[in-house]
Amino acid sequence: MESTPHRFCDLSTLAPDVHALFDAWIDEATRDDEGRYPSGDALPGPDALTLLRLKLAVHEWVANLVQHARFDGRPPLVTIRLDLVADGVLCEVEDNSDGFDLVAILHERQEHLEPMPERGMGLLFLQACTARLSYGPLSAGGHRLTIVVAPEQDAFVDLMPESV
Amino acid sequence: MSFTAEPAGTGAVVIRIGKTLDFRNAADFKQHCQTLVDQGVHSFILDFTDTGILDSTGLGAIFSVYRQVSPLAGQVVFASVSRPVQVVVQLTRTYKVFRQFATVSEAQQALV
Repeated sequence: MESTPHRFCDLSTLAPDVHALFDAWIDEATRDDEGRYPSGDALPGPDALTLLRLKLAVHEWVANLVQHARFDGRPPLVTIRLDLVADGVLCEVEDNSDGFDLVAILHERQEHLEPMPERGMGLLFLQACTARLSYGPLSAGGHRLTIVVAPEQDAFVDLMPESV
Repeated sequence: MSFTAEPAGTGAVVIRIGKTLDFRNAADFKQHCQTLVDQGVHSFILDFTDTGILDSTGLGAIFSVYRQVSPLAGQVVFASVSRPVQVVVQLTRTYKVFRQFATVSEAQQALV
């Protein structure tokens, strides 16, 4: 798994480009040093479930960027960096959008979440998938999301009606 | 990113979800299902064999279909659930509402 930053500047292809990047990472991380795919507990890096949760979390963030971010006329620039840390896999997503108050939006979504909603679940998915999450402005401009997805995490978003 | 529906008995269809059901094609999926409901389809078997991404918007579209057909005694069931989709099912505990089957044919037999 690499920590080289990957840059994207086309929002229309951001989702498939990021999927391709993660699929390559997942493929690389689940092979051993000889390029084989070990089974069960013999996986050399993070387990596949952790990486799939990470991919989903980043996908939800990318979907939010594509649908809602404001760039105020600037050409969009999104940078993604992935690294292994002690408690899981860390991912940083930087962008040059105007940003938003993630904590306030998450609080609002949690307060008003109805069973089986049609919209408004994306950031809750992101939060549920992550063991650590932070988001804020950068001194050089733009914003950075930092997430860590940990193995053995009991993650869920309660969307089901109480009757089921 | 179009969806195909194959008849699966009276009032039932199989929909092959394909590579993704996400913010890019969820509206198309919902519209497609709406047309089928208008034609008398009340039960949907969603085939996730090849699906690499099911996101919150895609799941929301499935919830919408479920809300439409459940008062009509219809069902929405999942078949051949890929690992990325299983992550979402576990994350949201939607297995409580959407029955899962290992294969499309098992789902078809259960809906007869």
